[in-house]
Amino acid sequence: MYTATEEDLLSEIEDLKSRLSEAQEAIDAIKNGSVDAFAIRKDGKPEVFTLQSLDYAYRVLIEKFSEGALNLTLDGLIIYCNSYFSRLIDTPNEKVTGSYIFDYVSEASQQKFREQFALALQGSSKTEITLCVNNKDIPVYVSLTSLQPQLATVGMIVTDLSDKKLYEQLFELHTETLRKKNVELEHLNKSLDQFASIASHDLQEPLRKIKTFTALLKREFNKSLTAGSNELIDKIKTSSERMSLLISDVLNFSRIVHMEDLFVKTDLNQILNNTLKDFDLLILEKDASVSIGNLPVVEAIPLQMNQLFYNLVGNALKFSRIGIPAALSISSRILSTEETENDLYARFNLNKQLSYAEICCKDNGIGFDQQFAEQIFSIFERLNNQEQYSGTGVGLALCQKIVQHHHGGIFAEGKENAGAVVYVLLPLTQSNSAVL
Amino acid sequence: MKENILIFIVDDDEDDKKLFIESAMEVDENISFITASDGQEALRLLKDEHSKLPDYIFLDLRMPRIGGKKCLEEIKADKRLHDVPVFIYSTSTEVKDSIELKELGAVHFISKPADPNDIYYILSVILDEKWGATS
Repeated sequence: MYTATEEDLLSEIEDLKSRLSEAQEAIDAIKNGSVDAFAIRKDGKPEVFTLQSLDYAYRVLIEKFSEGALNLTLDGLIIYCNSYFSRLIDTPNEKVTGSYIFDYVSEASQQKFREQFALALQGSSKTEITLCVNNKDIPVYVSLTSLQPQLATVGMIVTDLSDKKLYEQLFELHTETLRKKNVELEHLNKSLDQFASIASHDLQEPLRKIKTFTALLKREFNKSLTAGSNELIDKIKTSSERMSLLISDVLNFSRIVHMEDLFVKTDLNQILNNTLKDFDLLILEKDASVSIGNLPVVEAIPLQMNQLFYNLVGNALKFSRIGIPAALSISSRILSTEETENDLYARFNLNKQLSYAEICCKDNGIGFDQQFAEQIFSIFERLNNQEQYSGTGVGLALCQKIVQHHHGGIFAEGKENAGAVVYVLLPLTQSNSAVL
Repeated sequence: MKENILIFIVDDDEDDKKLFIESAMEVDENISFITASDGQEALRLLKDEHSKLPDYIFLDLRMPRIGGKKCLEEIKADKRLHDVPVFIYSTSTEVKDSIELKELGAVHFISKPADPNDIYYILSVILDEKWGATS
């Protein structure tokens, strides 16, 4: 049977009171933050509970956040703000705390922000606004979250958009510059077209007159002209014809790039056959033999392919050696992927996704010194004298321009008096182009 | 007896006009000519209802004030002039021009030749054939 004196009971009550008060003190201490750890004796061993890991860690996290973080009362009074936010608006922390958030919102964003704030009281909201502090606008993205019912406050996270806005502005500026440049380019293209038209009409016009009147001079005064003056008239005639050819060649050259022709499937065998028909007479005259291999079908601009082959075949026949029948061979093969990546072709920036045909145009003519292999593709570049070999020096430059326009490559190999080989690389298909 | 042919030639280039007339006279010395130096003058003369309708009109393209293209359009829009065959006679060698002007009603597109002999051949072909509204 349990027996206790009144004294015992009183002492027990005192003991319990004191433990209760201790516990109360501990709770108060935890509440006001003056205790960050406490120990509880359990099975004779003390067990330590650290409060720091709980509240303090969160405080540090929020404080070190690289976003602005605030705690607001339901009417917008700032009861806490982290150092990032105070740095962002360049106002000391003590001054921010105790002021209203609305004081930092720009005039233009006031209504929007108040609406979103009201919305956040029911849950959460997000929006882009502009803060305005000391006449400085700061574009920000705010995220508002009601912390009710645990706390009668609203949490606010502020993301600085200044850099983003700056980039956006720069981007817009660059887009605008690009747009202007495009307009300029269009104008330039138009001017070029006009130039082409002027070149074809106005420059050809006086030339035609020179030709007309020299022809008339020769016809009308034939009997009274001496052999010497006839020769001079012939020189005028030849020069003006050459000039005329030069103008039309340059015109063709300038037109290649902004031709708006579409790339279509083009059978190069057919193109070559047509070209050879144009050279029927010259082939007979030069007693030339022509051997043709099977050529591929490529996505190309047919007219330009015609010009390409016309120039290649024309050159091979033109630069034949005197007394030796011209022999011309045109063949083709498909390059392997390894070859496409080969150093030899690196300079043409070939697209590794595409297949390429290599067309080889070989002749037994006068050839050229290999050191001029690059030079022969420059416009007006001539390696041979005018008397022996006619031409304007535009042919191979035109070929190169056509090939470049078809995203291919062209190069030549030669040896003096031992023939020349021109290699043309053409993609079988064109990427990103409208192909019919 | 063959009736005398009347050719209307519109060209701002006096040399070309002179050469053209000389060559045409070689083909047929009885041809008579009316000339104008631009489209405006040509239309004024052509639209005069008392004037005799030419058998052929030769029209240059690039001329001051009213050019050949506009002039051709006006001729084709005029009831009285509509059926007169119009030949474009220009420095242009553009296929594009040729197609466009034929669509507008030109019978033929002639690029001015450099050799006066060629003018003679071209004209003899044209004058020997009957180019009418039905061709």
